[in-house]
Amino acid sequence: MENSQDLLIITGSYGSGKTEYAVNLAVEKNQGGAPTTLVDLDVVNPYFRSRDVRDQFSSLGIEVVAPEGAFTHADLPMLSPRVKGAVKRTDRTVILDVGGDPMGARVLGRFSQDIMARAYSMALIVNTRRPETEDLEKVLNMAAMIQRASGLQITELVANSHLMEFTDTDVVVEGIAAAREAAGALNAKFTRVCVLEDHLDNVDASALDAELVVLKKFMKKPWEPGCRKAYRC
Amino acid sequence: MGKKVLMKGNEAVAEAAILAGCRHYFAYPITPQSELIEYMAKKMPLVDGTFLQAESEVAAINMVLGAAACGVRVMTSSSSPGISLKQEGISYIAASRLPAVIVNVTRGGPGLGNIAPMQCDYFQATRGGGHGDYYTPVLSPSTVQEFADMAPMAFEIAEKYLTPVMILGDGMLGQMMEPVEFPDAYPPQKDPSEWALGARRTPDDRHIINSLYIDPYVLQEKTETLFKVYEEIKKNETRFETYNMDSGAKYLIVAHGTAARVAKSAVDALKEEGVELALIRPITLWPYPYDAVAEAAKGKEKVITIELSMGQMVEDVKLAVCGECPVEFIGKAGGVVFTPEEIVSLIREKIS
Repeated sequence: MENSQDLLIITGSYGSGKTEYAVNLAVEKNQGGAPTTLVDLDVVNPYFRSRDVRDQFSSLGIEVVAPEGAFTHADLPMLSPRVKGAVKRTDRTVILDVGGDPMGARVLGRFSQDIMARAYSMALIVNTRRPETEDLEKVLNMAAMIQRASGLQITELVANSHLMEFTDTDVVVEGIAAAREAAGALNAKFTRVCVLEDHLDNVDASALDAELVVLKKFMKKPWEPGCRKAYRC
Repeated sequence: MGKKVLMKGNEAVAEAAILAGCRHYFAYPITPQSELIEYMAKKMPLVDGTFLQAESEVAAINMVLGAAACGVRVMTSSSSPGISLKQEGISYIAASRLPAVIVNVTRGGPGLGNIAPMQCDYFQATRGGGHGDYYTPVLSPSTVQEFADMAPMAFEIAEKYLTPVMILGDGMLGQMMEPVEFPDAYPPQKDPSEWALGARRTPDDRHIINSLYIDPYVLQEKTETLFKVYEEIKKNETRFETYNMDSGAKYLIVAHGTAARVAKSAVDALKEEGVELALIRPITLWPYPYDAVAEAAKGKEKVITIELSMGQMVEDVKLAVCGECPVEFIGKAGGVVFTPEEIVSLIREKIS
């Protein structure tokens, strides 16, 4: 197999918006023409996991690798046996949605040999409105702990500061500043800033000096309009 | 107020408890509540507090009893099956007239059930839960902010009436993230010399923490005293919220917690179609706002109770409405939550 497709690893603190970003990235890559696989490596969160979009994604032709059957709803620290195969694949773009914090990133250590044997990028999603990553020092601390737990290097930073419906320009700009500074300190690239499409009206896009990614909300609460199916954890 | 941050309900209630001066926390992990115990494990040492993962839920609740007897703000938390295990201790705490806070982030039941959000512990929470003649004030949050705000509220009620207080969240409230703010100051702890061990106010003021009264007349008197306190709690602490009450609605919806969020979305959706619904959300489940529900039901053609269970609070709604109009029920078992479209069509069926 030709090593043509990317392996993209999405990490961050708990609640940084990793899953929302990973799911959107899968759609973006798929729409760009790359055959895409999304791997749910979250063994930390019991709700709001990328496996929740499996049915939606199968109709788009995006493969989701996650525990199957009754285990879909389990809170067990278990992974699909298909993960090991997926991280080696170079004929598809493979996105790893990793659980939050170093605890979630520890799972990567299991696959780090296979991952380091090929090219990969590892993104740290930064939301400065999560108390665990509220300033540069805490972001760098989180980054160091995730690198140690996973045995891998963070190569890019993605700003994702938001406060749900209270998101405004200041909140987003604050995230860009922290992600950019952290990228400098980690010898990584600051790549993009995310804003949820529902919040675009509250944000002055011209004030954001970075590539803007408009995210569509997939991880909906059951009472939010457009929630697709009866919520199951 | 501090700066707005994004937190899970489990984290927010833990942070608020610490800010409110809780320095003692004993628990045993269980999904979907585990972030709460993890947060306490991380933060308690930073404030010179005591975090202890007990060997079981039974041990944890008895540690709570011990700490409460010593006059400190103390909390425990668990999810449904773990709360069942704590019931003996909660009964002892209630009988011993000690203030403590218990958080239940409920999951699907009965049995081990599953880790999905459900409201099927309503009976257990509002009818005492353990053995004996007692009640526990029960607070039901419906947002992450309210979950956080209920921590200091629970300590205040607990200390004012010397009773255990339960915050009854559910897996959705524990797991979901919402913006939350914490006030700069919290109400201080009430002087514990009223109840705590070793805090004699006068030479004769002996504090003996006990729930064993072999003499039936003494137990009778103690229990009657407890129920006088419950009357005070009913009078002073009954809380509820209403929504869209002045719309001339012919129908009343009653829902609490997560189900109230779903219900509110249905009220808004049906309003756009020209159908008005009034909503009442009990905030205290015990004491239940019977009078407020009765008042809200006056002149309505129908009352509809929405719960994430096979129907528990609906019995309190029937007691409140007392035959004034039909009371219908919409519910789901298994931890499955209604989608916005589904709840709207289920309500439409009931009112057509």
